[in-house]
Amino acid sequence: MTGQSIKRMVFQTRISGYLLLLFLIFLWEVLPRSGIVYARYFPPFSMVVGALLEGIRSTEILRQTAISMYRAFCGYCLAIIIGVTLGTLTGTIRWVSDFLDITVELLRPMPSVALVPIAILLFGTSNTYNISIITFGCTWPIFVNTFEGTRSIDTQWIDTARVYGATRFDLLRKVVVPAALPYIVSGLRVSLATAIIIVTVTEMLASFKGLGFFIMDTYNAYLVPQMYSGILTIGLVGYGLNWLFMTAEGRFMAWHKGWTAKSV
Amino acid sequence: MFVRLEGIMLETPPLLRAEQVRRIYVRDGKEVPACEDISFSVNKGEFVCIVGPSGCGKTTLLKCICHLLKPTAGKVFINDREVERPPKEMILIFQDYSRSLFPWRTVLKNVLFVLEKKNLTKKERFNIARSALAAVYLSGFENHYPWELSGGMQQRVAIARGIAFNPDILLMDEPFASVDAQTRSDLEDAILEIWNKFSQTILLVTHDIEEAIYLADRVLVLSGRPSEIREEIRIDLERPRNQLTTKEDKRFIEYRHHIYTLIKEEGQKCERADICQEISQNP
Repeated sequence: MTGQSIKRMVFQTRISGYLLLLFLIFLWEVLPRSGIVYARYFPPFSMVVGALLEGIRSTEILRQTAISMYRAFCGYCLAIIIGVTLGTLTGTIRWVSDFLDITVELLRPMPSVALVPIAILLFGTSNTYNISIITFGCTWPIFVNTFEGTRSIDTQWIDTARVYGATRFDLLRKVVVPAALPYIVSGLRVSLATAIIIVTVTEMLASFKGLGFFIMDTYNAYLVPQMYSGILTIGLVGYGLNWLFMTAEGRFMAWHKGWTAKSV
Repeated sequence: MFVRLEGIMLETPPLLRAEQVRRIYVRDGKEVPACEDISFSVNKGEFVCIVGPSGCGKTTLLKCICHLLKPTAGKVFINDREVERPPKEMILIFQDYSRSLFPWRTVLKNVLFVLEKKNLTKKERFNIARSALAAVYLSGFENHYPWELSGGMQQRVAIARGIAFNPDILLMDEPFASVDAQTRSDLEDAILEIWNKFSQTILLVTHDIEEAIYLADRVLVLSGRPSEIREEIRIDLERPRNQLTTKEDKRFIEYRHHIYTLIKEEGQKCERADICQEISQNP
């Protein structure tokens, strides 16, 4: 094999991506072992994986992950319901947008984790505390995107549907929502990442269960490899959820990809 | 086909009747009339074309007729019933097919859209949609998305959707203005074929004089803004019409000469055509 063809194989396929990952894992293993970084605070990859496998075997990691996922899922779903409903109403009905605009613009820039003390006062350290903050943080991207999507709909689609006798409800269901769906989906993607972030942070701050708690708990107990295994788990879960999302999007939003590719 | 006998025409009331239709836009506090006191009627089975200079409010007039826009004054009657909201007897086909076909629906589902409100079984819906697509020679493209088709094919989907709905009258707003010349004459013949086959009644608006003469039984010439009906011309050319022989006919050339002269005069009156155009696009 010539040097040229090796170069092409590495850089013009996805192999280069995997090679980078392998290289970083290699560094993670070698740097602590060679003493270049302090192994106690930065344990080698193999030790972290060992801790992770141990956590899976004892079901500890799995249980903590399940709790975090449950909270994230509840908050995310509530945010979808609230964000899509409010966004659609705001985008399609003038007085609703006049009514909500100022309040929304005041609340939206507020960092959701700043609400942690309020939520703890109100809900203690129950699941409701985590879920309420996740809902708050995830609603905005969905809301804003749905609003933009429903507002920017081509009036001729509406006119066409009206010509064919569509009622207001038909317009909403068959024209407004499908037309706004690409926007809504990009809001959903942003919120998915937000949900993972907020569930971790709220659990780190005030919870006795969940992956965020697990990380802080092992940190305080000086169980460094276990702490790293918790962090690695969150990373993997985030990657997995994003992969699921993209797969579903590719499946259901294929029309949008083709359509935009055509009209650009 | 429709029998053109004066006696019968007097007895049967017109399918569509517009009475003193007027539409005024308010722009920066000033009233800008788009069309003024337009009255005409269309009989069952007739093919009527409205032709007028650019920016003279043709789109506004059509939207007023099917009540997508409320006329400022005047009335529209369909089958002697006054129109108050977009009536189910009337379908408007827009110039810009890319903005009226739904990109998230396949060709077949775009046609099925208009049948969803009708009291039909699923099988009947599919049969109607398929035969409408077959009538515009789009069989085999049912599962394509509209944006995968050429412009002319997309407009034929829009036409298939119109005929699947089975309205009493099809209104068409410059339906062939966004396609190339070759496709355009193909579409003209396609619409004539559909008009004949389904005994449709069609009211078509265009700025193209030859197109109007080629298609119509009657041509209504609009004046510049505010538009009024300047003249009504009955087109006595044999059917079926032919892109070559009809357009070479001596009478065709005379009609063209006459209408061209009228529109030229009116176009000069429409000094604010550019402003008018802007208004009709963003009312």
